[in-house]
Amino acid sequence: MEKIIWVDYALCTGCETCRLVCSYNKEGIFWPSLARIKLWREKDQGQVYPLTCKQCASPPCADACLMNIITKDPVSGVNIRETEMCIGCRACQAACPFDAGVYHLQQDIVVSCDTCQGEPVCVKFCPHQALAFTDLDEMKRKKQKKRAEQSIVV
Amino acid sequence: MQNIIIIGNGAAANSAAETFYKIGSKDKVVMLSREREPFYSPCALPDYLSGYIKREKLYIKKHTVYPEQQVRLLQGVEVHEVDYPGGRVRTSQGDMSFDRLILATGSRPVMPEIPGSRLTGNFVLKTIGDVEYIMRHNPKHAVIVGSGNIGLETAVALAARKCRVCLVEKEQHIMPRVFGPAVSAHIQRIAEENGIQVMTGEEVVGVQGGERVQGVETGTGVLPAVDTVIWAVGMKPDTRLAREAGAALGDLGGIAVNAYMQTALQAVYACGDCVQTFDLLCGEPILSLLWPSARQQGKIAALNNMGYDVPYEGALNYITGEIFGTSYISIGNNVPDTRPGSSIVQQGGPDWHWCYHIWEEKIVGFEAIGVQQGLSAMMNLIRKRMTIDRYQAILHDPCLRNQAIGLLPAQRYLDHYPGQVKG
Ligand SMILES: Cc1cc2nc3c(=O)[nH]c(=O)nc-3n(C[C@H](O)[C@H](O)[C@H](O)COP(=O)(O)OP(=O)(O)OC[C@H]3O[C@@H](n4cnc5c(N)ncnc54)[C@H](O)[C@@H]3O)c2cc1C
Ligand code: SF4
Ligand code: SF4
Repeated sequence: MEKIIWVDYALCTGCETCRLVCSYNKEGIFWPSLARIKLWREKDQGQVYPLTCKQCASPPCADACLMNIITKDPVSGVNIRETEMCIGCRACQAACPFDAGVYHLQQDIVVSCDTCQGEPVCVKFCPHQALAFTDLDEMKRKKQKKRAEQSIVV
Repeated sequence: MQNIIIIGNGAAANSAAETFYKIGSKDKVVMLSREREPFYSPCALPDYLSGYIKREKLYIKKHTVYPEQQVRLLQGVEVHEVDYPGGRVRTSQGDMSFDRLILATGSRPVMPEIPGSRLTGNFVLKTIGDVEYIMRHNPKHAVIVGSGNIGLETAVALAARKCRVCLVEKEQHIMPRVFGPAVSAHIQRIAEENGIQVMTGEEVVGVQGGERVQGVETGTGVLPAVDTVIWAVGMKPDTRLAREAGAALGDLGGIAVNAYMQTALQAVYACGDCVQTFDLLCGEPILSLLWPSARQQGKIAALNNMGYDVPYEGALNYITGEIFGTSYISIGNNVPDTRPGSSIVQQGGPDWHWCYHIWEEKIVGFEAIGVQQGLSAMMNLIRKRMTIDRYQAILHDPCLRNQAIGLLPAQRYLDHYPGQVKG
């Protein structure tokens, strides 16, 4: 079953841990701008929304890519970019419905989350458990359980 | 098992072939291509011209290698004629028969017939061959005629090769079909700051010279000491084969197709730059002439060819680019609209500008330069054809909001919508 990173927006505090560990894992440097996960902060409400790749079934970024470098890995379901061929035109970034493409300012390419070979460090280190790496069915079960628990407490 | 012939080896043709392969069609697919090159992306040609990337990088690497018996690519094979009633194509390598045909013949650069346009030193830019002719000619002072996306990118690429460049545009501002005057003015400013001469409202009427290009005549004067003229005045769909076979053409000059990419001829499909399709936003006929559209149409043509009923959603034109480190984007229709019910909202500073176009309460175009955030959210809003009221409703409902996070970053632009309550 294909797994993706799920976000529980209610739990995210915007602490930036995910971005720090991601950039360190991928680039060897603590530099949030290079992280494959973004935090979008709403201006007035103060709510924070982590944005990262949802590994779309038929990815709009792949249709948009002017170099055809984005393909789905048939086993893991991860949408992989062959970044050596990227020309940094950023067409894929605009096409992504979740703004998951990250412009790598040092290399002039666009990168996105590859789920760290199935063990995403952002999920591991998120201090508030706002991120989870699961498949759809499991996510549904978790949500149901949570709802059930909440209904008992109230 | 049936024989399918795809004419072409560009984005549209390859997307169709890939779809046949992925679905596991039993049919035999043969791709015919005039050029002796593996599949490459013309979009990267300006980067090759400037020297930013090497030749190998033009080729599409992540390109499925098809099993020989299923999809075969024949390079260097020019199709001369489609004998539709006989179900055959006549090529430079003999005849071949087909049960179904997909035309993905692409487009060709427009080359106006004016005095001197045949002298040595006149070029167009569409194929690897074209770029290499230009490189061998080694331009020292070039005039680029036409400032669309290709004209501008070529100007920047030549400037990077230390060539003196003058960009000539007939309309009042550069990239007139892609940007409104404000964003266009920023692009012009950046081009000029980097040594590119820009002339707007000028038409090239002749090229001077004995055997080689020596000067360029515009409506108001002469540009002397020019050794190269690059024509970037547009692309036109390559429809010859379709037309001669009896397929109808649209009034914009592309092969007429329906939403299933079928031409007027039974069992003949067409996709990519060679077709005339409709616009996703208003349904009006357009020539898209862009890579993502070619890919999507290729997929649709193949699916319907195999009998899956999948209609095309229409083309949403967008381009992204960069000029000397400043990125720009244009989505949808950004040509100023004078119809009643249309308006624009814009903001700008010394080195940035954004603007969106509204028609009937929906955003139908967005253009920006020097801004980075919320671009994909705007793209999303436009693609979804969402009204501004609906967007505001989503924004104020916490439950809906969590399901539409991709749209939220558009708020920074929509906050400027007239009559918006902020807070
Ligand atoms: C310099 C440049 C920059 C561009 N930049 C962008 C950009 O930034 N963004 C974007 O979206 N688009 C861009 N484009 C446009 C994009 O490249 C095209 O929309 C896309 O390549 C169209 O693909 P296609 O398959 O329809 O046609 P083409 O790529 O034109 O392919 C047509 C194919 O048909 C073959 N063919 C034609 N007739 C015959 C025949 N009679 N016999 C045999 N073979 C035949 C040709 O050999 C070719 O392989 C750019 C184009 C150029 C030239
Ligand atoms: S980058 Fe965006 S469009 Fe591409 S697969 Fe990920 S979420 Fe989908
Ligand atoms: S930036 Fe790279 S990955 Fe994105 S569309 Fe351009 S070439 Fe493809």
